[in-house]
Formats: sequence, C-alpha cells, structure tokens
Amino acid sequence: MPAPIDYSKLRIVPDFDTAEWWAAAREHKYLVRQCPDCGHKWFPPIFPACARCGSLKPGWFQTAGKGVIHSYVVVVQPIVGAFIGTVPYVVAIIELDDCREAGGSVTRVAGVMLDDEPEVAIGLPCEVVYEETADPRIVMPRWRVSGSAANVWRFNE
Amino acid sequence: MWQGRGKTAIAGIGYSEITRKPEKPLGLLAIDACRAAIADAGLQARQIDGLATYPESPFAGAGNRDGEDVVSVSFVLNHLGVAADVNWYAQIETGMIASPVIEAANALIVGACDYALVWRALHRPAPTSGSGAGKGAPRAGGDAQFIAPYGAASIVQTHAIAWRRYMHRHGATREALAALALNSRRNANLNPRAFFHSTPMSRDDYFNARMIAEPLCLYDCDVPVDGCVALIVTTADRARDLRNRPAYLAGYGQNTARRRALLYYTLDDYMACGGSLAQKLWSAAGLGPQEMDAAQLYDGFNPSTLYWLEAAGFCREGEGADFVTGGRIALGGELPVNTFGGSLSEGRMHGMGHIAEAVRQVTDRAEKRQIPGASAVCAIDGSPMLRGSGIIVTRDP
Repeated sequence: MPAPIDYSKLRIVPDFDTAEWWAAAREHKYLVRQCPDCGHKWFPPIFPACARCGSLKPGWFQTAGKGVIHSYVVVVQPIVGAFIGTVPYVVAIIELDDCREAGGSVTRVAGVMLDDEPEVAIGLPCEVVYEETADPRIVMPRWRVSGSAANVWRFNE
Repeated sequence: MWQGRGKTAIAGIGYSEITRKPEKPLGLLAIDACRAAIADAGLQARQIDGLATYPESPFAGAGNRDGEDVVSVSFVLNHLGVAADVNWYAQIETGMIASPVIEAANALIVGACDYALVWRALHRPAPTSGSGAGKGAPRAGGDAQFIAPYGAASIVQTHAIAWRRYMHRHGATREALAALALNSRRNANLNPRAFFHSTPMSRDDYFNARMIAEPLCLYDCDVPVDGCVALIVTTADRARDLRNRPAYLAGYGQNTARRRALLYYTLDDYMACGGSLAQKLWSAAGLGPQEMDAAQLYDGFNPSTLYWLEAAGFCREGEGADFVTGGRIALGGELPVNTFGGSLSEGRMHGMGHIAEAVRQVTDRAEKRQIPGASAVCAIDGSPMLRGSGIIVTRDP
C-alpha cells in the first residue's frame, strides 16, 4: 500500500498571480483564470495576459470541478521527494466540462488521482476532491473517477 | 527562401569523451571538444573570433556552476586561447540546440565574425531523490506550484501523457518505440563515439526494461552523460579553404514556447509547434522531406522522433508507427533515421549529435554509417511545444 503524499517535503510558494488561487482552494473552490473582456479561460494561473485578446486584467472562474480524463501517466520512478513513498501513482490531465469554448478549445488541469491505475482510463469522467495537508495554508485538489463511459481506452500491453 | 542559403557552412566537428564516469569537470571536457573542432577544421584557436552556446542545464535544479554544470561563453573565452578580440558572442536559450548555429550563420553573413565556435556541454548531476535532504523542503514557486505538488516535475512524465494519448488516438503500440530504440542502438554500434557503441540491444532487452513513467520505459529515455560537442561555423568561401569538405547550411527553423507550463503541454501542442517549425525549415531551404537522404530527429524521449516524422511531413499524422517498422528507417532503408544512434544510444548531447551526424553524412565522413552520396540531411531537435530548432545541411551550396 503506497504511503500518502508527504507535502511537508515541498515548500509551496504562492505569489502575486497565484495567492488567490491557493486561498480559494482552502475554501474547497477550484478556480481557473478567465479574461473579463473576452471570456477566454486558462490554467495554470501563472500568465497574467489573456492569450486570445491580450487583456492584462485577468479574473477568475470557479469551475464545478468535473471533467473528463484527457490522458495520464503512471509514475513508477518518483522525481519529487514528497512522492518517494507514494509510487506508483497516477497523474492525469483533465478537461473541465464547464470550460469548453467555441472552436473546440478547452481548459485542462492536472492532478493526482485517488484511484489506482486499473480504475483510470482516457475518457472517464472525474471530479475534484480536496485533501487537507499538514500545512493549514495548503489544501490540495485531487481527482477521482466519478462514473463510467461508453468509450474508454486503457493501455494493456 | 532564406537569403543566407548556402552562404555559410559547418567546417569542423569536435567531441569530448562521452562518459558516465568523467575524470575531469565539464568545463575541461568542453575545452577538449572545442580544441578538437578547431583542429578538425584545420584552424588555430586564435583564429576563433565568434563564440556561441546553448548553455541551459538539462533539467530544473540540475545546478548552474560555470565549468561544472554548464559551460558559458565566458568560460571558453577564458580557457581556450581564442582571438585576443572576439567580435561576436551569444548565449542563446530561445529555440534549441541548433539556435546558436543559426545565429552564428546570420552573424557570419553580415560579417560580424569570421570563424564561430559553437558548443553544447552537458553534465549528468549525481542522482538525488529530490527530497532536498538536509536543506529544507525544496521550493515550489512559479510554474512549479502547479506541477511539483502533482508529483510530475520531469518532462518524461509530460511525454508519457502525450504518448498515451497518441496510442489512444492512433491505435499505436510499444512496438513502434521498440523499432526506434533498436534502430538507434544498431546505428550506435557503428559509431565509435557512442556511449552504447559496444552494447547491442535485443527486442527482449527493450520489452524487459523497467518502466519509468508508464507507458515509457528506461530505453525510451536518452542516456544522461557528461560530454561536449563543438562545431566550427564559417562563411562558405572561408570553409572551402579549410581541411574538410564544407557542409553548407541550407535553411533553418526554430520555435520557442508560447504559454502553458511543462506538465500541461499536450500531443496537439507538440504537433502544432512541430509542424510550424518544419514549415519554416522547408521554406527557408526550398527543400522538402522527400529530398532528405536521412533525418536526424530529436529523441530526448523516444516518442519525439515519431512526432517529428509526422510534424515534418515524412509521413502523415498517425502513420508514424507504421512508418518506423519494416526497415524503412534503417541504414540502407528509404529514410535512414538517427544514423549515429540518437541521444538514446550515443548519449544526451541534446541535438548536437544530430547536427554532427548530418554534417558527417553530407561530407562523406560518416564512417561505417555513410549513406553513399548523401546530398541533404536535416537535424531537428527539441520538444517543439517547449522549444525546438532545426537545420538542413547540404553537400553543395
């Protein structure tokens, strides 16, 4: 049984662009950037300029935190110290349901799945859950499979 | 077409030892490579009046000590005995490994210098657990706030996510990556500089290798080494008076990341950025993929070569997995790929090994790997959604 993620081995440093994001996560809210001028959304919130219209006044959109698994990796060899005891674990890229825009663009977020590898597949629906850490300033979003889908794909070789 | 087409050439190649047990610091390996390139061209160090490198560390946190982890222009300026007055220098971290060659060519064309020395030195830092033991917890600021807490701080994990998406989208299997890895190893076995020169690889070796970031295994990763490759770039006129047949620079393309953070790049980003880079490359040279006698395509991680084959138009999107099986990419095949062994089997010189081999092939210096009469070869490096660069070298100007 893998150990929990040891977030004490990671010193997360919120900054001017991201402090509000971490504050929202503490209240179990998942934010993505949204341009107040043209409505374009993006993640992670480290770029203050809107890629579509160039506005430099980014706002926020609170997503419901539901999406579909775009793809994922099963990390076998840990790189980040906080995860040394956690392998194997699944990191997924998730396409948010309420962040699909005209023209096919979609906001994608990343996170560690609560589920084990055999339960994860490309195309499955998933939802955010919040994990308290030893540091009261840091609440970590995680993701879990929330249902089934007609067409899912797993790598079996 | 690029106005500089055929006006500059690569006239010398120098390698240091490529090793996982270095007996000297990286800076001195770089000096070995620089001296070898100068001698190969038939020049003297004091004739070098242009210096350029792509100095970036191989990964975040790898260290940044000049002469130990990286080798700057300043280091070479102070340790090589180059011209008293160096006329042009550049440290370039946009584009990728070919970018200092490209900038040197454009500098040479306008007369900013006569002989440019370009190198890339790479150090394999001692393995760490990333735990930062004894130094307090490692900092996760900037992009890393949305990467490190998800345990995915290495580009191998980004590549694994994209490759799984590729398999899903196109129905590919690991057989395609096995074909690429085995092709590179066979070619490295013919390359006396390659780290794996004397080590063959079987299909079983590939499929029995441990997973690193599933679905990518150990042999889908390049081999981290210490070493340096250096090149001499000069004007075509000057190159014709030097020792070697010149490898003329016919065209180039380069690309630097737009937005996003490492973990968030997708297969679509890879293909879009790779496609636009290749378009710049082909239109600059006035050549197309069908005119290449070989392709040296980046393989920091193995799927990159497959994506480049598609993005650069050697085959259609989704057809790469079929393309690389059946002997087409072997020496003697329709399009030999990574004829020197690639970064997978020569060693992680980023794209410098690819450029050096392209030069060797069009100047009849490719030893047992020579493609008879090779007249145009491309060398393309990088994961283009992050950064990338490519050049075409030709036998005739």
